[in-house]
Amino acid sequence: MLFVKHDKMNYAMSLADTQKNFMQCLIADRGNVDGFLSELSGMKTLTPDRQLSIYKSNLDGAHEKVLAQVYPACRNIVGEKYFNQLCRQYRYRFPSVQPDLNNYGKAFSGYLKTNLAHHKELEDFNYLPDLALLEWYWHATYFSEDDRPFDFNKLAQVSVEQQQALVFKLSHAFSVQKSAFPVIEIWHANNTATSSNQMFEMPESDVYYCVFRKDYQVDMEVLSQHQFDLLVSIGQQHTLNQLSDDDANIDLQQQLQYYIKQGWISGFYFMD
Amino acid sequence: MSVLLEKTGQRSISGTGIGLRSAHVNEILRTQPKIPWLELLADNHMAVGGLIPLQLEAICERYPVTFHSVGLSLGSVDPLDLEYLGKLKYLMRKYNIAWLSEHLCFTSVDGFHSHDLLPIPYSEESLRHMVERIFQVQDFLGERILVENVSSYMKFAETEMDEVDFVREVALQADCDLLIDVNNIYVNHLNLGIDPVVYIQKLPYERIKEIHLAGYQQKEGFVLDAHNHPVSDPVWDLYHQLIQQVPDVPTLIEWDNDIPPLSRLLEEAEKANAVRETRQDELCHVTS
Repeated sequence: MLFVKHDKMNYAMSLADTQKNFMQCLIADRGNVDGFLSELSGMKTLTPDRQLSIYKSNLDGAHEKVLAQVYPACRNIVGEKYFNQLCRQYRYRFPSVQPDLNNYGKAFSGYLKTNLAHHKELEDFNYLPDLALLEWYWHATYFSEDDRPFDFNKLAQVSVEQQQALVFKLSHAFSVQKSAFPVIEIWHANNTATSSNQMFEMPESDVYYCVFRKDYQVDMEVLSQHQFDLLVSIGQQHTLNQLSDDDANIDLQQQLQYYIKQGWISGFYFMD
Repeated sequence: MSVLLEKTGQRSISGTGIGLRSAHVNEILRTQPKIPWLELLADNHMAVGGLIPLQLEAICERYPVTFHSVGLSLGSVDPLDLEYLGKLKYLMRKYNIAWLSEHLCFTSVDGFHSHDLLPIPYSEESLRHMVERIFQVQDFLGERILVENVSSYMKFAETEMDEVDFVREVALQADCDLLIDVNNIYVNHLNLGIDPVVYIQKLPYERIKEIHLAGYQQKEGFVLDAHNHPVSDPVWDLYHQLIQQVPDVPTLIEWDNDIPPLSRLLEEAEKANAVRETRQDELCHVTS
């Protein structure tokens, strides 16, 4: 539907065009800004340009607030002002596509990684993408789906023949990561408001860790490379038979018992 | 449109409640203060696991609760997000939520979400669209929703009707109820120049089921509906005017940023109670 503007004799936008153009002006910093501004009336203290800038500023603030909650350590390290700049650039590159803000910010680590090369000021912070990844999993784990209680009775009834095809399921609230940087120490030193400037030794080999939820609290645990590999194999749906063959240097039974006790393994099924 | 169902076994919503934010959840559950009802931002309670669903259950066991949402994007030209709406319906049924309120605006379009309340032009086209959308939502939920007037920092040149006429027509044509945010009326008075007294005079009082009170923040050249201050004196005056007409409508104190101690929110709630009780006393005297 088209309305005729009385003063300029232009065709006004339909509701759809108005909304789409408004959104493009907000999320992509592009779109038909002049066209959209021509749809607005100036007010005593608010020009059309100023009206639009208020909404842009509101969006900046909302996204900064959300990302600051998800990435407190990254924010403390680069400082509030620089972090907010990153947030603005990130929000233009990755506008939100879901109503639930708890899901926003997943790509921040990848965004940092891509942009390290373009931001000379970040060259001393090449661990930030890995730190951001840790923070994302910490955040996401808090909101993850609950698991059903592990069925020990059903496990006890599994026959020797069935064991060959048995596949363990990892908890929804569990993930394993590795990093070349001492991200766990960095995170511990920076994830609160009272973060401190510390120097950290680079580890001699990769750091392996998992993030999980137990009794409604998110926690983290350092893993050996053997444990990491085993948990990755479980995540890749290797059968119990395959797990037995994967790594002779690990006590599989002991490890599986521990993972079940910790809630990292939440159940099992049989491969067809 | 299908017949709207009356809920059974619903705990009543009356008096002055507060908008419960995460900063106060533990304290509320631990101390269980005497608050007649709570309003939750539904969007903050949709997590499928962890502590959030447990807290929601515990809150709803102890208090009458209403849902306020920001993600329905009622005014959007995108199709309704049925997954989101389905989650709302599920939670409302599961926890016996008294009602759902949403905003007369859009928050998303083309699949992009602003997470801000974006105004729409008050035109015949917008009115038809908004009414149709509310029909759809009410059909899906099987009950009436409340729609809220929003604060705005934008004036569309093609506006064909006053905001209050738009709000009124939406309520009447969509057969929905209203949540009137008095602070939003005052913010729009300061920013857009609407007459708040006339606005309140023109409201369809029989449709008003809830009132919101909040504080705004003075910015350079405008005021922001920041919900980070106490309710201002002019807003209390307008509230008094509105309560003259709807003395029994429940009121809610909203405070979303720079959140103070719970006791401070309860002080604001007491002030609202005092205004409403004064009016109710006046009515009693007239009756007797």
